[in-house]
Amino acid sequence: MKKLLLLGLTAVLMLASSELWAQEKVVSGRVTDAEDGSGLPGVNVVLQGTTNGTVTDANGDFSLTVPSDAGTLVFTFVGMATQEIPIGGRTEINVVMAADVSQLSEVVVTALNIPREKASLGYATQQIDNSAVSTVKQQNFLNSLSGKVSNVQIRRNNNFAGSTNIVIRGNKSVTGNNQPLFVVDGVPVDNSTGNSAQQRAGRYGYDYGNAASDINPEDIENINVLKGAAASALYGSRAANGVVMITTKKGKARKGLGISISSGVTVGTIDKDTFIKYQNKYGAGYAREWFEFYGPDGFFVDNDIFGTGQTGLVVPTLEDGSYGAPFDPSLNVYHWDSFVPESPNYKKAHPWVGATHKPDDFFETAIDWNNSIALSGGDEKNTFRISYTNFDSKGNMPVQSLKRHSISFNGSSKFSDKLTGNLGFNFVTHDAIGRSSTGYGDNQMANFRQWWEVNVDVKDQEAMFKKTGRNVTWNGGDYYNPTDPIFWDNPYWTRYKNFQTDTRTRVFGNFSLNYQAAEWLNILGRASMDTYRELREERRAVGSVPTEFGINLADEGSGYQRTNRDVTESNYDLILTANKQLNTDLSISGTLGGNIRRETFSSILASTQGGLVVPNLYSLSNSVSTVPNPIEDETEKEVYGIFANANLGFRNMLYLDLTARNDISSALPVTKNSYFYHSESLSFVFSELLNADALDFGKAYFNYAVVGNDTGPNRTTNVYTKNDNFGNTVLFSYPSTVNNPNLLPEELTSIEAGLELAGVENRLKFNLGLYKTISSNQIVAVELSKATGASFKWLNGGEIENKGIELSLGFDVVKNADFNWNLTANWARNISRVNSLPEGISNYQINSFQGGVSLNATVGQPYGVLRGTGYKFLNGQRVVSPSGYYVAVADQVIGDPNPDWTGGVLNTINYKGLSLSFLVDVSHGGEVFSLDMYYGQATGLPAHTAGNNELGNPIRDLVVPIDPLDLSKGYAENSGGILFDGVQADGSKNTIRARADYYGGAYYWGNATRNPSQMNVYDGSYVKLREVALKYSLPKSILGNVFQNASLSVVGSNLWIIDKNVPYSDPESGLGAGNGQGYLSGAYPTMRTVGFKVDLGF
Amino acid sequence: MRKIILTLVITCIFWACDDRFAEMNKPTKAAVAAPAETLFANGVNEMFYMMNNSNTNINVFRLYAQYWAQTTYPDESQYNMVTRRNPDFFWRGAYRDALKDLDEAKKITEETWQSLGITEAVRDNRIAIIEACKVYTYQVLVDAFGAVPYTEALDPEILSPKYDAGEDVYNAIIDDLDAAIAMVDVNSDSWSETQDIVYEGDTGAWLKFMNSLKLKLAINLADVNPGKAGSMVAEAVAGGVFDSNDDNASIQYLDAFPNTHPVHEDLVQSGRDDYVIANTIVDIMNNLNDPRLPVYAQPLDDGVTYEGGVYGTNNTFAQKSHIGEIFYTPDIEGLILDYAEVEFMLAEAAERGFSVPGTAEEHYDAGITASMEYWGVDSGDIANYLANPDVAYTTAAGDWKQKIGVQAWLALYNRGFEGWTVWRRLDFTGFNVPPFGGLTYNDIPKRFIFPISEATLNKASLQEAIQLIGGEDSATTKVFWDVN
Repeated sequence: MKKLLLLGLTAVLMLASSELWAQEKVVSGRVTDAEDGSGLPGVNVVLQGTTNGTVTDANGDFSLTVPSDAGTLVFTFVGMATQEIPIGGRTEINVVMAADVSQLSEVVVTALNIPREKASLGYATQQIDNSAVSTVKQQNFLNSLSGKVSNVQIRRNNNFAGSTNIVIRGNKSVTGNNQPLFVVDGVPVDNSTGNSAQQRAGRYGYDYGNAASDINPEDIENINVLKGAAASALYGSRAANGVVMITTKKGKARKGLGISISSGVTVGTIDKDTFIKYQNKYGAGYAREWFEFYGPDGFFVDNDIFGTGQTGLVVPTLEDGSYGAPFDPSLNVYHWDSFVPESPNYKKAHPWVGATHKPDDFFETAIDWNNSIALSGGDEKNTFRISYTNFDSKGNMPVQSLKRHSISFNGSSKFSDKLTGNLGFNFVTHDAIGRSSTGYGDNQMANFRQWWEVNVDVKDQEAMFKKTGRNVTWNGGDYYNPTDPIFWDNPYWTRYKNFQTDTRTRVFGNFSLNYQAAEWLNILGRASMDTYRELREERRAVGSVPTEFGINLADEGSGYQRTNRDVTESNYDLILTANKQLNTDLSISGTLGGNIRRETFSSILASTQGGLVVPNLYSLSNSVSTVPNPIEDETEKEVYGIFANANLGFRNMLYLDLTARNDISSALPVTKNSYFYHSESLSFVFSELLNADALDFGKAYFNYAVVGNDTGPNRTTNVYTKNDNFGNTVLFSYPSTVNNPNLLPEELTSIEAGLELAGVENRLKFNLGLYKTISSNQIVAVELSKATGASFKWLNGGEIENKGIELSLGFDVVKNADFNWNLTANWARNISRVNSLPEGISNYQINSFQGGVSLNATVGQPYGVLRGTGYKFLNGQRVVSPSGYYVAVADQVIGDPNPDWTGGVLNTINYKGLSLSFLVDVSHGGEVFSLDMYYGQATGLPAHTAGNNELGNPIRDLVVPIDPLDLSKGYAENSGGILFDGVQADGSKNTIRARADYYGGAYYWGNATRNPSQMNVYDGSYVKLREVALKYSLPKSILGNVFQNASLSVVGSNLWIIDKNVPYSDPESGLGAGNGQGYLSGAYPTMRTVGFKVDLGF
Repeated sequence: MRKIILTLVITCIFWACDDRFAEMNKPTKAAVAAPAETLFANGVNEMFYMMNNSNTNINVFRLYAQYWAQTTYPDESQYNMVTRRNPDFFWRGAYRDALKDLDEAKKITEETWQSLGITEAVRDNRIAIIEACKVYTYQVLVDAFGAVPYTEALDPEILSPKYDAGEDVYNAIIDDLDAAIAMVDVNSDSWSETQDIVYEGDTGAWLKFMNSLKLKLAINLADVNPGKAGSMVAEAVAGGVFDSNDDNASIQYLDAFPNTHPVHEDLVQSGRDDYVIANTIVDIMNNLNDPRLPVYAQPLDDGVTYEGGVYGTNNTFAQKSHIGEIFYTPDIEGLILDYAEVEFMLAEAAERGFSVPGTAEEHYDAGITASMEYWGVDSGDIANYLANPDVAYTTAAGDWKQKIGVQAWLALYNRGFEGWTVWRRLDFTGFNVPPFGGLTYNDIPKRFIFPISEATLNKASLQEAIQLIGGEDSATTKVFWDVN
């Protein structure tokens, strides 16, 4: 591969050198716009076959010295049809250029990087151009797709530099990967997160982001989304979830060197609607009566704490909840800082009031810098583009940054009339510090949202950390030494001392040779590779609260863990393409090819154990106890595929497309490792038959496809697990996941039909797609009853059905020379259903989460339903217990995270050089479970847990029955508590008031009999003003000759969540990409960003 | 021409790859075979872990036995089994972590013993020891859940193993144990000293364990099947049960994680202060002037007063007696069956009229003595204690069940599961009711509910199992032997 790259580079450089000329003459003239006759500035004028050229001036005039025997001038301008004018004996040449009207014969890049005329395709694709990902730029370009492509469901999770979940047309695999395949210029690019199993289950861990986020939005020319199986059958099994095909920018023949510079800065602040709003009436504690020794009211410790002979009230720092004493500014008590010698409040009592600086103030302003430069150029034979981008992002929490450098090169050279070489090369490095810890682990959001004392001032915590450098926390465990942390570290300690880092170095690219053997036959040979290595390091500083950490996930007060990952995929393709017009009516084209894919994965995970000996030294050798057995992973997989494709066209109207492919995969048992699949599609351009004025274009298509799939490597042979020795005793155990030597390939069957229309002079475009996919014979690591002696076993079986409808509409509401208004809308609905699971299994647990809820594939239900304790219903009403709480019933389906429909509306308004666009992104329906509410309400944090009831009394006041022995007599006028809406066991309306004065009351997290988990399930719908961009392109009159283009933009993203129903959170938040969706735990708030950007082209 | 080349290429691809592919898909960093002794040692280690740990997600029996109380989060003391799915994790520890490794060790032993060059007698001893450990674990499972998979368990080919009624499992494992006892040849070796972390290869010690285990099975059966229980007791005693603390089935934990005593993880490594000793046991020990109290618990700041946390609700760590200092050390012993327990069972057997040498009182005194010696109480204090009229067998309050029950329970302090079980069997009084959510004495669990995951992973079998235990999967449903 290296050699190939060198050869390619040399070739490109050599051929770029210029030539000498003999006798000369000057040709001059004017280029005008066909529409209004005005002069066109900035048009490239090049002598064909040379680098000799010029650009028209502000009036459209040009002048060029050419050899006297020169042949042809080529005039090119973006958006205009290229003109080729033979010079002959002339010295003056005037040219009229017209807009390119070939949009209906749009060419799109399809599977295997084969360009095809869109009209001939019998399946759905949707293309978006560079501006969609580069105007309002995101850390992860995937986020820019949200709301822009129908039925591409994006969930961005809000984790800093975190992963984005992307699912096209629903989840198809029970346990496998449901993310689409990413392909850059024909190179499949790895998009794994490598997030740990416990991170995905909502426990300790960091979200390391999608690997596809290495793709630099500045280098993207366009993105084509292949949604269905027929579209992607040629990619084989991996494309079952759709393909995101990315074409990068290439150099073009032009005069001189093209330089484009883009520079932008974005600032971000949290959207407070997506963060908890605290109650400000009651401070630390869980309840009054549990602490009989706590002061006269049972809220504070009442003791001679400093041995002064005088007792004083001490805040119960141990209790990480806020069901304590009502605030009283006249009451002086000892707070956490009264025990810190460095504090001005040392040994001093101060007023019992709510915090001035709430955890909202923990967040900082995020800043992203994005600078890039690209050079491009070329002549008729050679073109190149090289770019460098520097992305520098500072997150919104302390010690949080991501730096990314991207270098990209694309070159193409015509070695002869028949032989063309292409080289694409990308080099990306990134360094991240302080990514978001997710879930219930060591996560400040879990701290702030679930376990907090609203009397704690975060800025005081910051000041104390910065002053002492110690882990002086608000959450002291020992009442004699309350600064010794018990459950939660000082949040600043966590950020400054317990951070992670990761670095990745990645190279991906391809080299291809294209040989035009005959006019009708093309042979393409291509080698491509994507390879990266990564180092992930996680740290816990000496003095932290012990939490699960390291390989054995033991409670560790300090430690170090590192993971080295090497991921490589290479592809070798040989593709023969034939094209023949048989007669005036019939054309035929075909492809025959072979592919060898080789994947290697290597990782080693190692950690310290028992803590660190020397503080601040993060190395494995600094372990207190023996370093546990590292976890090594070394796998390789090869897939050999042969494929063929035939496309028959009749009168540019009727197209039949057939594909067939056979793969042999090393991951399947040798006796059953070969599998065949195919697709058939038909496209009918019926507008060719009709002669309706209103209809410019009309096409109907239909396709059927069957796609096979293999599995990951090393799943066919059983292995034993080596545990750490017990002294000198050697321990092995039976594996918790049982492999299976009898696995069969998976199968995905899909049918699809669609309609594409364009009318009213192409101002109105309409697409409709209908599809149904059935994924069957799935390879699933089925969870077993542990009575089998194992936890999981790889099995075949199970079927998931997805069907849906997608619509998109484009409308040029206003279209004239100066003023254009385009509206593009899309809408999609996907319905999934788990038809069956491997025999004997009625439910598959995708993830088991904290809070007694799990995410499941349940037969007869949509994929991914939430299960847990549910309400008990009587005649459709929720049943309330004799204590006034909702009654719980075990193991119910309590929510479905799949949205009912998704959609987006994009408006683009252009007036002269001014362009305004705004995107509204909608996801309707779909439910989420919030662990933040499950615990956060039970600890009395959010505002509504300290409100008033319908009697006008604080709900936290005691419930006062008129007759405690007969609750039917009602309650006193001053009664606190909550009256839940529902019925009593006999069906009569509930009249029993529930207590809300302690953690175990109305908002208790629940147990088997009451307060079901379902109380914390919310509708995940949202309507968001996702992007707003205002761009001003400087007119040519100002630009003069130096610039080809220049623009200034002001952009905003996530400016306004117009509507949502999840309290205090963004329904999109989550743990990260993957199948475990619909679960909020320690959710990060949404960042609103506003940016400014300058683009210059020379 | 093109066709020929392609045909050649395709043929090469198809033919050349099979061997290469088979090799490629073989694990290179994990063992496809492992020695039986390593699985045996792991299974035994897991069996001890499951019984000795105090993880709030797994083993909550020190709470159910009311030895310990919780501080900030008292859910488990209030018998919430759902939030943390305690039954699931305990069940998983028994089946997946302990039993499956033991079972696999047996299978590998049968397959490989000849290549190891050991005699048939050694092989039989090894298998007998494995069987005994499996019997131990199955008994715990039945005692915890009532009915559990036995005949179809431990086979990943059977995805939905059916449950067997508790009595049927008892009968089957009693047969297994008898067969194991018959296989033992005390004059031959068994497992190696290094791999046998309990008795270091002492076959005779394992035989005593098997007989003591038989006694334990018999005593649980005493109310429901006294005939069978009586003859089993006689056989066990004749075969030789534990007769000193040296016989205890214990493993010596080490001072570095992951081989520290599991309680150390929760009391020390966690950095948390979740547990204090419960008022239930402290109040009784205070009344009896029990010299084990300074071992079981730490005094308050005054250095002399012991005050237990209120069982079943929140307590402030700083204000209550902590768990004894010895439990804060990493390298103490873990126990699954001990001499004191055997003596109390013999006392019980005597009261039930079973054929055992000695009187109930002698065994009662021996049980107390064994426990006190184990915890390092000096002989003078032991004598004083035995002389205390509230302790002395003839004068202590209540019937024999009350007397033996309370003293056995006090002796089983660090063995929550057995402490809870002896309360269930003998029904002595003294347990408290958690002051929470209207709980009553009847709500104190008599069993673990079935694992929550079984409802989704093994539903049909679970439905049958619920019928096997009387139609309701409730924590207050009694297991089959708990008839009184």
